[in-house]
Amino acid sequence: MIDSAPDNHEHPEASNLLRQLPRVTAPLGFEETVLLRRMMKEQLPHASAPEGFEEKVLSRLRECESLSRHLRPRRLRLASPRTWIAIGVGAAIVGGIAYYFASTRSSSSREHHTIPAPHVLPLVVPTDSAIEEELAPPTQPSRRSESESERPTVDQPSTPPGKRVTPGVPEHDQE
Amino acid sequence: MGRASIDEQTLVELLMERKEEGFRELMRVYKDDLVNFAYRFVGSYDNAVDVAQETFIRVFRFIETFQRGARLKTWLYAIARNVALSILNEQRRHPVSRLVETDDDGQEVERDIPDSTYTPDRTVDSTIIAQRIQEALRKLPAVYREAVILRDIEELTYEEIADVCNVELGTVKSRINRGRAMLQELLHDVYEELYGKQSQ
Repeated sequence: MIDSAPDNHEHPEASNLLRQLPRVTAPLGFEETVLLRRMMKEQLPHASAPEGFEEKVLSRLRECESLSRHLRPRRLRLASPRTWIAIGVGAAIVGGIAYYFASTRSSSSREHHTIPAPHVLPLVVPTDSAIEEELAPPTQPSRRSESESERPTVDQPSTPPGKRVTPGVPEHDQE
Repeated sequence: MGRASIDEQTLVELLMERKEEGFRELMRVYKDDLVNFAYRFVGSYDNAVDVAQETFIRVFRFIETFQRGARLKTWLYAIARNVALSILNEQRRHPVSRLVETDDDGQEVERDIPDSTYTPDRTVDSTIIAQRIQEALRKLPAVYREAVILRDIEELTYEEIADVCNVELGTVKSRINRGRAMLQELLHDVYEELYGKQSQ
């Protein structure tokens, strides 16, 4: 079949442009590389797989698969609901016992280790007024608030005028 | 790569449905490439077969995590690379000494001083030259080695290598260049033997 590609003469501009492209040269050591590759191709034989290669691989694979199948039921047994229920019940019992011991121990330890409240001595800051109060005679009227002083007074028989009264001395002695 | 009898999309569907037919087809198509990649990477044929087997087993186990838009091929290589790296790390526990270098991107790269007792598998690398090349590959740091193997032996694209190694495209390019330069240095006399002094 004749190639119907257009001849270069039909496109002189394109040809001129292509001629202007710089020529690329082979890199240094090109021949050596070619020889090296030729040598490797020609001189090195192609190693091939030994006879029965496929069968060996398939038997190794079957071994692996049978091993994994052998292991699978164990895994499944472990994951059965009965196992999980048993594990759950066991954990609950152990947890309950642990909680019981922990709570009893903490309550007993609370009894033993109660620290008695220390006897707090009243801190008395002596002031002049307090000393005065202490020294004051017991009959001295106590301070009253204004509301108290406003309360209605009850009439009581008062001491007759002119009678000398010594505070703290019984009345019959004073006579 | 083995010739696929079904397209990748159908293969992914079969794998997702965990059909044995799909797994068999996947192994048929990719087993040799993965064994070859792993052999060139870890340097031992027995370990390489282990890597490939483990890769397929991981595919079977984790196929649900495969994103449908992704390429199955790069996913397989990424898994194989991880498995191979874990084997190499295991071997590092009884090493040899280690050097830390800085690569072109300023990233630190650990470089093992390889075990001098290492010899390539003679059943695979039957010629002296093949053994010399394999020894030279083993001397490269893992990040350069994987990049060179994926590009020059497995013929993955730069983008695919970036996906497999989970690095930027620029990092892939610089690692490939650096790895090739190291190999050229290591295989200087093999060049002369094969292609004469004019090649240098």
